[in-house]
Amino acid sequence: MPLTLPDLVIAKRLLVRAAVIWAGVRGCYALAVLLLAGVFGAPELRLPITTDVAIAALTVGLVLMEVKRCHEAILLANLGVPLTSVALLAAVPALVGTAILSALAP
Amino acid sequence: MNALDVDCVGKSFRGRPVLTSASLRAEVGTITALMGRNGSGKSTLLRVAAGVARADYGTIRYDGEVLARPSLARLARRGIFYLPQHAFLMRGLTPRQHCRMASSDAGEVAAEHAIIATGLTAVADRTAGSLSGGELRRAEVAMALARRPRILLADEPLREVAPYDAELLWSVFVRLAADGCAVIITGHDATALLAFADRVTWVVAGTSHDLGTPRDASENDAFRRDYLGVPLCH
Repeated sequence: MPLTLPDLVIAKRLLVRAAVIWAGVRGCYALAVLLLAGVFGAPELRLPITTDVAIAALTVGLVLMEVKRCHEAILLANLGVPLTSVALLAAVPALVGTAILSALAP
Repeated sequence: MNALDVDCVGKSFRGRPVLTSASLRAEVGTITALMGRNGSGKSTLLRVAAGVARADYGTIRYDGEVLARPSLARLARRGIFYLPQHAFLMRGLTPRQHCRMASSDAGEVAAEHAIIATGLTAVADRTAGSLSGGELRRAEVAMALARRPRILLADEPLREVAPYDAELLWSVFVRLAADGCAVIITGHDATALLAFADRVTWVVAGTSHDLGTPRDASENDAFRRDYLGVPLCH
Protein backbone atom coordinates (compact mmCIF):
# COMPACT_ATOMS: atom_id res chain seq x y z
CA MET A 1 0.00 0.00 0.00
CA PRO A 2 1.44 3.44 -0.88
CA LEU A 3 2.35 5.64 2.06
CA THR A 4 -0.06 8.54 1.92
CA LEU A 5 1.01 11.43 4.10
CA PRO A 6 -1.65 13.38 5.98
CA ASP A 7 -2.84 16.81 4.94
CA LEU A 8 -0.43 19.63 5.87
CA VAL A 9 -2.74 20.90 8.65
CA ILE A 10 -2.80 17.49 10.35
CA ALA A 11 0.87 16.79 9.59
CA LYS A 12 1.92 19.99 11.40
CA ARG A 13 -0.08 19.01 14.50
CA LEU A 14 1.34 15.51 14.50
CA LEU A 15 4.89 16.85 14.15
CA VAL A 16 4.39 19.29 17.04
CA ARG A 17 2.88 16.52 19.18
CA ALA A 18 5.78 14.18 18.35
CA ALA A 19 8.31 16.95 19.13
CA VAL A 20 6.72 17.61 22.54
CA ILE A 21 6.65 13.89 23.37
CA TRP A 22 10.24 13.40 22.21
CA ALA A 23 11.40 16.37 24.32
CA GLY A 24 9.52 14.94 27.30
CA VAL A 25 11.02 11.47 26.90
CA ARG A 26 14.51 12.89 26.33
CA GLY A 27 14.11 15.17 29.35
CA CYS A 28 12.93 12.29 31.56
CA TYR A 29 15.91 10.23 30.42
CA ALA A 30 18.31 13.08 31.22
CA LEU A 31 16.67 13.54 34.63
CA ALA A 32 16.92 9.84 35.40
CA VAL A 33 20.61 9.83 34.46
CA LEU A 34 21.15 12.96 36.56
CA LEU A 35 19.51 11.31 39.59
CA LEU A 36 21.65 8.23 39.09
CA ALA A 37 24.77 10.29 38.35
CA GLY A 38 26.73 8.35 40.91
CA VAL A 39 26.13 5.16 38.95
CA PHE A 40 26.22 6.30 35.31
CA GLY A 41 28.04 9.65 35.44
CA ALA A 42 26.61 13.06 34.47
CA PRO A 43 24.09 13.20 31.56
CA GLU A 44 25.51 14.07 28.15
CA LEU A 45 23.94 15.67 25.10
CA ARG A 46 25.23 12.94 22.82
CA LEU A 47 23.86 9.53 23.71
CA PRO A 48 24.80 6.09 22.47
CA ILE A 49 23.04 5.31 19.19
CA THR A 50 21.04 2.48 20.81
CA THR A 51 19.64 4.90 23.42
CA ASP A 52 18.73 7.45 20.73
CA VAL A 53 16.96 4.73 18.73
CA ALA A 54 15.12 3.51 21.84
CA ILE A 55 13.97 7.06 22.67
CA ALA A 56 12.81 7.60 19.06
CA ALA A 57 10.94 4.28 19.11
CA LEU A 58 9.29 5.17 22.43
CA THR A 59 8.29 8.55 20.98
CA VAL A 60 6.70 6.91 17.94
CA GLY A 61 4.88 4.43 20.18
CA LEU A 62 3.53 7.19 22.43
CA VAL A 63 2.38 9.29 19.44
CA LEU A 64 0.54 6.28 17.99
CA MET A 65 -1.07 5.59 21.38
CA GLU A 66 -2.22 9.21 21.59
CA VAL A 67 -3.60 9.11 18.03
CA LYS A 68 -5.56 5.96 18.89
CA ARG A 69 -6.71 7.30 22.26
CA CYS A 70 -8.19 10.40 20.60
CA HIS A 71 -9.81 8.22 17.87
CA GLU A 72 -7.83 10.21 15.31
CA ALA A 73 -6.71 6.96 13.70
CA ILE A 74 -10.23 6.67 12.24
CA LEU A 75 -10.07 10.27 10.97
CA LEU A 76 -6.72 9.62 9.30
CA ALA A 77 -7.84 6.26 7.90
CA ASN A 78 -10.95 7.91 6.42
CA LEU A 79 -8.55 10.25 4.62
CA GLY A 80 -6.58 7.27 3.33
CA VAL A 81 -3.66 7.75 5.73
CA PRO A 82 -2.40 4.51 7.35
CA LEU A 83 -0.77 4.42 10.80
CA THR A 84 2.58 3.57 9.20
CA SER A 85 2.63 7.08 7.69
CA VAL A 86 1.87 8.54 11.12
CA ALA A 87 4.72 6.48 12.62
CA LEU A 88 7.16 7.76 10.01
CA LEU A 89 6.04 11.34 10.60
CA ALA A 90 6.35 10.89 14.38
CA ALA A 91 9.96 9.78 13.99
CA VAL A 92 10.99 13.01 12.23
CA PRO A 93 11.20 15.30 15.33
CA ALA A 94 13.18 12.62 17.17
CA LEU A 95 15.69 12.37 14.31
CA VAL A 96 15.98 16.14 13.93
CA GLY A 97 16.22 16.68 17.70
CA THR A 98 18.90 14.03 18.05
CA ALA A 99 20.85 15.53 15.16
CA ILE A 100 20.68 19.00 16.73
CA LEU A 101 21.80 17.74 20.16
CA SER A 102 24.64 15.80 18.58
CA ALA A 103 25.77 18.93 16.74
CA LEU A 104 25.63 20.96 19.97
CA ALA A 105 27.54 18.37 21.97
CA PRO A 106 31.14 19.33 22.72
CA MET B 1 -25.24 -3.98 -8.01
CA ASN B 2 -23.61 -4.54 -4.62
CA ALA B 3 -20.82 -2.13 -3.74
CA LEU B 4 -20.15 -4.10 -0.57
CA ASP B 5 -20.85 -7.75 0.14
CA VAL B 6 -20.14 -9.11 3.60
CA ASP B 7 -20.78 -12.82 3.59
CA CYS B 8 -21.12 -15.08 6.67
CA VAL B 9 -18.48 -13.34 8.78
CA GLY B 10 -17.64 -14.32 12.32
CA LYS B 11 -15.83 -12.37 15.00
CA SER B 12 -14.99 -13.21 18.61
CA PHE B 13 -13.51 -11.06 21.35
CA ARG B 14 -11.49 -12.97 23.96
CA GLY B 15 -13.27 -16.18 23.08
CA ARG B 16 -16.74 -14.60 23.24
CA PRO B 17 -18.44 -14.81 19.84
CA VAL B 18 -20.02 -11.48 18.83
CA LEU B 19 -20.73 -12.37 15.22
CA THR B 20 -21.34 -15.98 14.27
CA SER B 21 -22.64 -15.81 10.71
CA ALA B 22 -23.53 -12.27 9.73
CA SER B 23 -23.99 -10.94 6.22
CA LEU B 24 -24.53 -7.44 4.91
CA ARG B 25 -25.01 -5.94 1.50
CA ALA B 26 -24.71 -2.35 0.37
CA GLU B 27 -26.36 -1.65 -2.94
CA VAL B 28 -25.39 1.32 -5.07
CA GLY B 29 -27.82 4.22 -4.63
CA THR B 30 -29.70 2.74 -1.67
CA ILE B 31 -29.90 3.24 2.08
CA THR B 32 -29.71 0.05 4.14
CA ALA B 33 -30.85 0.22 7.76
CA LEU B 34 -28.87 -2.09 10.01
CA MET B 35 -31.11 -2.68 12.99
CA GLY B 36 -30.86 -4.77 16.12
CA ARG B 37 -30.88 -4.63 19.89
CA ASN B 38 -27.95 -3.30 21.91
CA GLY B 39 -25.13 -5.82 21.89
CA SER B 40 -26.48 -7.75 18.92
CA GLY B 41 -23.32 -7.12 16.90
CA LYS B 42 -24.35 -4.23 14.58
CA SER B 43 -21.34 -2.08 15.33
CA THR B 44 -18.93 -5.01 15.09
CA LEU B 45 -20.42 -5.95 11.71
CA LEU B 46 -19.97 -2.37 10.52
CA ARG B 47 -16.39 -2.26 11.86
CA VAL B 48 -15.58 -5.49 10.04
CA ALA B 49 -17.11 -4.14 6.82
CA ALA B 50 -15.10 -0.92 7.17
CA GLY B 51 -11.81 -2.74 7.67
CA VAL B 52 -11.45 -1.40 11.21
CA ALA B 53 -11.80 -4.88 12.75
CA ARG B 54 -10.66 -8.10 11.13
CA ALA B 55 -13.18 -10.94 10.75
CA ASP B 56 -12.17 -14.36 12.09
CA TYR B 57 -13.79 -15.96 9.06
CA GLY B 58 -16.10 -15.09 6.19
CA THR B 59 -15.70 -13.13 2.98
CA ILE B 60 -15.92 -9.42 2.26
CA ARG B 61 -16.14 -8.16 -1.31
CA TYR B 62 -15.71 -4.56 -2.34
CA ASP B 63 -17.08 -4.03 -5.86
CA GLY B 64 -16.93 -7.80 -6.28
CA GLU B 65 -13.26 -7.99 -5.31
CA VAL B 66 -12.10 -9.90 -2.24
CA LEU B 67 -9.32 -8.04 -0.43
CA ALA B 68 -6.93 -10.18 1.61
CA ARG B 69 -6.27 -7.69 4.41
CA PRO B 70 -8.68 -4.80 4.10
CA SER B 71 -7.90 -1.73 6.17
CA LEU B 72 -9.94 1.45 6.37
CA ALA B 73 -7.04 3.56 5.04
CA ARG B 74 -6.86 1.32 1.98
CA LEU B 75 -10.63 1.14 1.55
CA ALA B 76 -10.97 4.92 1.96
CA ARG B 77 -8.97 5.35 -1.23
CA ARG B 78 -11.58 3.16 -2.93
CA GLY B 79 -14.36 5.43 -1.72
CA ILE B 80 -15.42 4.05 1.67
CA PHE B 81 -16.14 6.42 4.53
CA TYR B 82 -16.78 5.12 8.04
CA LEU B 83 -18.55 7.10 10.75
CA PRO B 84 -17.91 5.38 14.09
CA GLN B 85 -20.12 5.73 17.15
CA HIS B 86 -17.63 7.94 18.95
CA ALA B 87 -16.34 11.38 17.94
CA PHE B 88 -13.20 11.19 15.80
CA LEU B 89 -12.49 14.76 14.69
CA MET B 90 -9.29 16.51 15.78
CA ARG B 91 -10.23 18.69 18.73
CA GLY B 92 -8.05 21.59 17.64
CA LEU B 93 -9.36 21.79 14.07
CA THR B 94 -12.61 23.35 12.86
CA PRO B 95 -15.40 21.63 10.90
CA ARG B 96 -14.42 23.76 7.89
CA GLN B 97 -10.81 22.52 8.06
CA HIS B 98 -11.99 18.92 8.34
CA CYS B 99 -14.32 19.31 5.35
CA ARG B 100 -11.58 20.93 3.27
CA MET B 101 -9.22 18.06 4.06
CA ALA B 102 -11.89 15.53 3.14
CA SER B 103 -12.74 17.26 -0.11
CA SER B 104 -9.18 17.78 -1.30
CA ASP B 105 -10.03 16.13 -4.62
CA ALA B 106 -13.43 17.73 -5.02
CA GLY B 107 -12.36 21.27 -4.13
CA GLU B 108 -13.50 23.87 -1.61
CA VAL B 109 -16.96 24.14 -3.11
CA ALA B 110 -17.78 20.64 -1.89
CA ALA B 111 -16.60 21.56 1.61
CA GLU B 112 -18.73 24.70 1.76
CA HIS B 113 -21.69 22.83 0.34
CA ALA B 114 -21.32 20.16 3.05
CA ILE B 115 -21.20 22.78 5.80
CA ILE B 116 -24.35 24.45 4.53
CA ALA B 117 -26.17 21.14 3.97
CA THR B 118 -25.55 20.08 7.57
CA GLY B 119 -26.52 23.45 9.06
CA LEU B 120 -23.04 24.15 10.44
CA THR B 121 -22.46 27.60 8.96
CA ALA B 122 -22.60 29.35 12.36
CA VAL B 123 -20.06 27.03 14.01
CA ALA B 124 -17.92 26.11 11.00
CA ASP B 125 -14.92 28.05 12.32
CA ARG B 126 -15.10 26.90 15.94
CA THR B 127 -12.76 24.13 17.01
CA ALA B 128 -14.22 20.62 17.23
CA GLY B 129 -13.32 20.56 20.93
CA SER B 130 -15.77 23.41 21.63
CA LEU B 131 -18.74 21.91 19.76
CA SER B 132 -21.69 20.17 21.41
CA GLY B 133 -22.30 16.46 20.83
CA GLY B 134 -24.93 17.11 18.18
CA GLU B 135 -22.80 19.70 16.38
CA LEU B 136 -19.86 17.30 16.39
CA ARG B 137 -22.02 14.59 14.87
CA ARG B 138 -23.19 16.98 12.14
CA ALA B 139 -19.59 18.02 11.49
CA GLU B 140 -18.64 14.37 11.02
CA VAL B 141 -21.50 13.86 8.56
CA ALA B 142 -20.43 17.08 6.80
CA MET B 143 -16.96 15.62 6.43
CA ALA B 144 -18.44 12.45 4.95
CA LEU B 145 -20.52 14.51 2.52
CA ALA B 146 -17.50 16.58 1.49
CA ARG B 147 -15.58 13.37 0.82
CA ARG B 148 -18.27 12.20 -1.64
CA PRO B 149 -17.91 8.53 -0.74
CA ARG B 150 -19.10 5.59 -2.81
CA ILE B 151 -19.94 3.63 0.33
CA LEU B 152 -20.88 5.26 3.63
CA LEU B 153 -20.97 3.14 6.78
CA ALA B 154 -22.55 5.18 9.56
CA ASP B 155 -22.78 3.80 13.09
CA GLU B 156 -25.60 5.60 14.90
CA PRO B 157 -25.07 8.90 13.07
CA LEU B 158 -28.13 10.46 14.68
CA ARG B 159 -27.09 9.85 18.26
CA GLU B 160 -27.31 13.07 20.33
CA VAL B 161 -28.79 14.94 17.37
CA ALA B 162 -31.92 17.05 17.90
CA PRO B 163 -35.00 16.13 15.79
CA TYR B 164 -34.67 19.20 13.53
CA ASP B 165 -31.01 18.45 12.83
CA ALA B 166 -31.76 14.73 12.42
CA GLU B 167 -34.09 15.63 9.56
CA LEU B 168 -31.30 17.70 8.03
CA LEU B 169 -28.90 14.75 8.26
CA TRP B 170 -31.44 12.37 6.80
CA SER B 171 -31.73 14.68 3.80
CA VAL B 172 -27.93 14.43 3.45
CA PHE B 173 -28.05 10.61 3.49
CA VAL B 174 -30.91 10.57 0.98
CA ARG B 175 -28.95 12.94 -1.28
CA LEU B 176 -25.82 10.80 -1.02
CA ALA B 177 -27.84 7.72 -2.00
CA ALA B 178 -29.44 9.62 -4.87
CA ASP B 179 -25.92 10.46 -6.09
CA GLY B 180 -25.11 6.74 -6.22
CA CYS B 181 -23.58 6.19 -2.78
CA ALA B 182 -24.34 2.92 -0.99
CA VAL B 183 -25.34 3.98 2.53
CA ILE B 184 -25.57 1.70 5.56
CA ILE B 185 -26.91 3.24 8.76
CA THR B 186 -27.39 1.77 12.22
CA GLY B 187 -29.54 3.29 14.91
CA HIS B 188 -32.49 2.84 17.21
CA ASP B 189 -34.91 5.42 15.80
CA ALA B 190 -36.98 2.72 14.13
CA THR B 191 -39.57 5.16 12.75
CA ALA B 192 -37.00 7.26 10.89
CA LEU B 193 -34.92 4.28 9.78
CA LEU B 194 -37.97 2.50 8.34
CA ALA B 195 -39.15 5.74 6.71
CA PHE B 196 -35.91 6.58 4.92
CA ALA B 197 -34.25 3.21 4.27
CA ASP B 198 -34.65 1.21 1.09
CA ARG B 199 -33.70 -2.09 2.72
CA VAL B 200 -33.53 -3.45 6.26
CA THR B 201 -31.03 -5.90 7.72
CA TRP B 202 -31.79 -7.19 11.19
CA VAL B 203 -28.95 -8.38 13.41
CA VAL B 204 -29.87 -10.85 16.14
CA ALA B 205 -27.33 -12.49 18.43
CA GLY B 206 -24.49 -12.35 15.93
CA THR B 207 -26.43 -13.41 12.86
CA SER B 208 -28.24 -11.27 10.33
CA HIS B 209 -31.50 -11.43 8.43
CA ASP B 210 -32.14 -9.49 5.25
CA LEU B 211 -35.75 -8.40 5.77
CA GLY B 212 -36.16 -6.69 2.39
CA THR B 213 -37.95 -3.37 2.15
CA PRO B 214 -39.05 -1.45 5.26
CA ARG B 215 -42.61 -2.50 4.44
CA ASP B 216 -41.60 -6.17 4.42
CA ALA B 217 -39.68 -5.63 7.66
CA SER B 218 -42.58 -4.01 9.46
CA GLU B 219 -44.75 -6.96 8.47
CA ASN B 220 -42.22 -9.50 9.74
CA ASP B 221 -43.67 -11.03 12.91
CA ALA B 222 -40.36 -11.89 14.58
CA PHE B 223 -38.95 -8.40 13.86
CA ARG B 224 -42.10 -6.72 15.18
CA ARG B 225 -42.17 -8.84 18.33
CA ASP B 226 -38.48 -9.04 19.19
CA TYR B 227 -37.15 -5.70 17.99
CA LEU B 228 -39.96 -3.18 17.55
CA GLY B 229 -41.85 -4.54 20.55
CA VAL B 230 -45.21 -4.06 18.88
CA PRO B 231 -48.10 -6.57 18.59
CA LEU B 232 -48.06 -9.05 15.71
CA CYS B 233 -49.88 -8.30 12.47
CA HIS B 234 -52.24 -11.25 12.86
